[in-house]
Amino acid sequence: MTKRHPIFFSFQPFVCLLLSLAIFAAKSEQLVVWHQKNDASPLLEQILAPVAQQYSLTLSVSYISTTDLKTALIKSVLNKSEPNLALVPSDFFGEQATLQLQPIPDELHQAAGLEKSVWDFAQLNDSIYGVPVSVGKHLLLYFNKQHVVSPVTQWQQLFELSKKQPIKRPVIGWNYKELFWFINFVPMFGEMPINERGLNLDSKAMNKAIKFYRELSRQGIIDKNCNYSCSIQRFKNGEFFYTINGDWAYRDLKNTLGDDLGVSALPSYQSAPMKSFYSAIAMIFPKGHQSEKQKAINQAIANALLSDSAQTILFEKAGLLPAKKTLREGLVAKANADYADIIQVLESGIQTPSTPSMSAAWAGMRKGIDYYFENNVSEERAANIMQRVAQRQLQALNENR
Amino acid sequence: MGFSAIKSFKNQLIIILILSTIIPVLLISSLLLLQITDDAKAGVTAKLALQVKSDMEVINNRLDILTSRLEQLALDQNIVLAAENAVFSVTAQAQMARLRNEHPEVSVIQLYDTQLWPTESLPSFFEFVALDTVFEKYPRIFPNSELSKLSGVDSASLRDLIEQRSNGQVSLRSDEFLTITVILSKQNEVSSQSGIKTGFLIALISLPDLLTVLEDQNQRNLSLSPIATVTLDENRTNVVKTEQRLINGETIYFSVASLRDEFVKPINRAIRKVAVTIMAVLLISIALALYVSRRFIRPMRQIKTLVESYRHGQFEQKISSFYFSEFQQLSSVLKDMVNQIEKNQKELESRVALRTNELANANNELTLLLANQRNLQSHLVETEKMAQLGGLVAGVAHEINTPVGIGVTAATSLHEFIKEIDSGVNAGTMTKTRLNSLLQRSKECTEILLTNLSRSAELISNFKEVAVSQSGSEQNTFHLYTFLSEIIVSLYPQTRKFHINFSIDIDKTIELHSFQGVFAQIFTNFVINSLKHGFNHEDHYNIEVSARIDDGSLYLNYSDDGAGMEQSVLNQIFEPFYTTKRGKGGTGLGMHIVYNLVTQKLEGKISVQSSLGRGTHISISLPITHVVNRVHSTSK
Repeated sequence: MTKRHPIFFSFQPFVCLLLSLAIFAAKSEQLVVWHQKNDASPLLEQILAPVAQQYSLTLSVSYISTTDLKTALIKSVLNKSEPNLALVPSDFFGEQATLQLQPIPDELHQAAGLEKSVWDFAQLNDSIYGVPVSVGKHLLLYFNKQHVVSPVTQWQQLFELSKKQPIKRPVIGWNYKELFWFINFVPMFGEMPINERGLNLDSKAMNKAIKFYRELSRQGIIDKNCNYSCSIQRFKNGEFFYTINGDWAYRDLKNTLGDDLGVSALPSYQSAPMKSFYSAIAMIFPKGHQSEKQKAINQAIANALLSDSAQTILFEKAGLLPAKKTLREGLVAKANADYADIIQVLESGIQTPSTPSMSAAWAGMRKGIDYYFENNVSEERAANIMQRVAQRQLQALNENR
Repeated sequence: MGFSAIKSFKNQLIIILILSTIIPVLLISSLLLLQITDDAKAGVTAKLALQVKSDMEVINNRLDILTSRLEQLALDQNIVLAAENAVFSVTAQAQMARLRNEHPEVSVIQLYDTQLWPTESLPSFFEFVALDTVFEKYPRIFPNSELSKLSGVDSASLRDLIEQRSNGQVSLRSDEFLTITVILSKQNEVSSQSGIKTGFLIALISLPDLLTVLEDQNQRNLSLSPIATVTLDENRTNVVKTEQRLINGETIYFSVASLRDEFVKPINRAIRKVAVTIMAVLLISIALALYVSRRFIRPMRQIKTLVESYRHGQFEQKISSFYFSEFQQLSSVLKDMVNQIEKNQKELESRVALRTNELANANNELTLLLANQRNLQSHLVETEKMAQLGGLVAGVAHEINTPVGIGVTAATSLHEFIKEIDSGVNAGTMTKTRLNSLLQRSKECTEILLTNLSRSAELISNFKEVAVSQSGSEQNTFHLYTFLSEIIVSLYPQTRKFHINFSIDIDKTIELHSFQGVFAQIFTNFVINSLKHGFNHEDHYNIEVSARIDDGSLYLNYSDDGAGMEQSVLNQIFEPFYTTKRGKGGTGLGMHIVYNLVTQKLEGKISVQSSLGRGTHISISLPITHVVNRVHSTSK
């Protein structure tokens, strides 16, 4: 047997202390919160801190981008490391089966005090799997009043405006390659990506939308390689006269441009209005509601986030429109006049379905659009691929159910 | 360079010197080059053997790394779950793209689910395409899966895809691939789903593309193939080394071939060095050859210059001394030769002077002799003229003598008759009868006297005309026919003893302005020659004279049917002093004078045809300038 060095014995008590602390920390229960609102972590910590304290939980609030949030949640389910709470776009409910979401308890449903229409965002079949916190997430046309006196109402006006520029340059910017923007162009051509029969991606409207979308780039109205942050920055710099962004971006843009910022509805195309898809940000509880304690914590979280004070903070600090209509109308009335326009666009928009079909449609559109731009195939081929991939995805989602 | 240049001693000397230098150099260089070639080839072969091992290790390592990377990827939940859920598509694609960036030899990477649905593919044009390669090679990965179950997926061969859809986006140079497949399964101890297979990840590695991992692969001739037979560029390849390895369950043959350039390069370098050496040797040998040839040729040139000066009589040129004894001996011989030539030349000069004197004397004598001969010739001509004149005078005297004699006789008789009448009258004895008789006789005498006097006068008149024409050297105008007729009449004293019939066939209108005396002299000579040499007194002869104008010339012909002459005589007929009647009154100048008169005085031509027994025919042609007038009619 080898003889140990004396120094080993001198460190022994210290090592034991460290190990004990580590085991304690690991066994301490956490209140894990994931969200996809970039600057909302401090707000959420502020709102949820009392809940954590009440249940002796260690609060952990993490921002995860919308793109990664869904995969992170699925992986967490697989790894049994789900967060207690996740604030997700309402279209995530389409992945309900994969996320293994459980219907919320009736108590929670009743205590939320939301209008019935708001619950639609979280409802799948006859069950409700989450609690809406905020509505909106709809796109708006922002413009710089230093360059634009009267905002365009037709896409043709943007084409003409581009042609009039002394030097050929984009006049508008958005995250061109992101489907969230693309999908708003589809209904403009007369059909929805999904309809009562199910997936409706392989349609004439989709063909036209794809073609039109690519034409915007080809004609140089938009720089297709300019992503989200790029388009915001170039708009702020005055380089772009217009930008299309969500309602969540209003406060950021307003802080930079001040009175030069204008808000308008999306332009029409040949008299067909371009309606914004809107949805909600909802609370989901991936750990479920099995135990009473869990139910109580979930209820406390919901109460905290839906409280008027929390909703007001989220509106004022993060630009999230309250889920409660009465509260929303009250806050908007007090707020900047631009909000009237923002609400008007919202109210005339299209609610994004929260169904598995919509989830599958997103997947199909992702593949189809990428394939279209990378391989220079026809619009028909791209739309057909969207449909096939979406069908496959829908099949997979249904099999998981 | 012509044949003469090749035959030049100097050029041949240069060529021989150069060749004697170059040929050994070339032979030695060739041997060296052969040795270098063998060494280079052996070196390349050994180098290739090492290289093929080294390269194979690199490829193996690369494939090991790739396999590890794929296995690592298969542990990534984004990849594992992407086979089930399109939500992971973006992340999975990014992971797969990163792997392709790290391993460009991966031509295609695809993610299949358990039903062989290709959920993710890179490059993206392989999206939604289930490669038949996958189904051929991995049919048993998921035994329950069938291609027929798939809907909405295209099935295609890799070859077709490469041809139809690559558009240059993927550098697939061959349809031979290595495939590396890793099974995707959920790995999580806490999950009940752990170990569940979700699909598989397959990477298709183009063997040619795999070569790109080797350094300088573009500069080398490499081949990686699942078959042992390797097709390489035979024109550019010399040595091939092949290594066989089992990779990922498949036997791969890796070949490295040396390009011909690899060992040709050292040879080319050696050739360049040899070429430079040869050029240097060539230049040196040329310089040496030129120097040597000049040294050899210089004394020859000096001797040539010396000989040239001797040829031009410059014997005072000094002979220089030469380095080579042969040339020195040659110069000594030349010196002796020059001395001998000088001596001979002096002797020759004295002989020439002597001979010149002798020739001068002889020349003087000949000049004198010639002068005498000319005098003699003139004298003879004058004598002939005088002889002709004498003959003419004798003829004239003879012709006139007869009528004058008859006239004298008639006058004498008449005188006698008159005297008898006178005496008879005076005496009264004269009878009438007698008187009538005497008167009758007197009358007859008078008639005779008148006839003969007229004859004499006529003769004198003719002679006068002939004489005048012969003596005149000036031109005058005359009718040819009349003039020739008068000449014939004037020759009557000579012709009367012969039986000759004259015939003149000349146009009477032909009138000439010429030397009338010359014509008389010519025709008189013809007639006299006919009488002397062609006729005898017994036989009858004909002489015909004719003239005609034709083609700008006047043609005069004279012919007789006398004895003719032999050819030898005919050949010399115009030569002076040639005669067949030497000592019998002939001078041999008559026809010579005629020839001179025709050719020089009248500027015409004359020819004679004759043969023994067939008479003689003489033709004269004269320029038409002599003719004054003519009428186109002929009369005899």
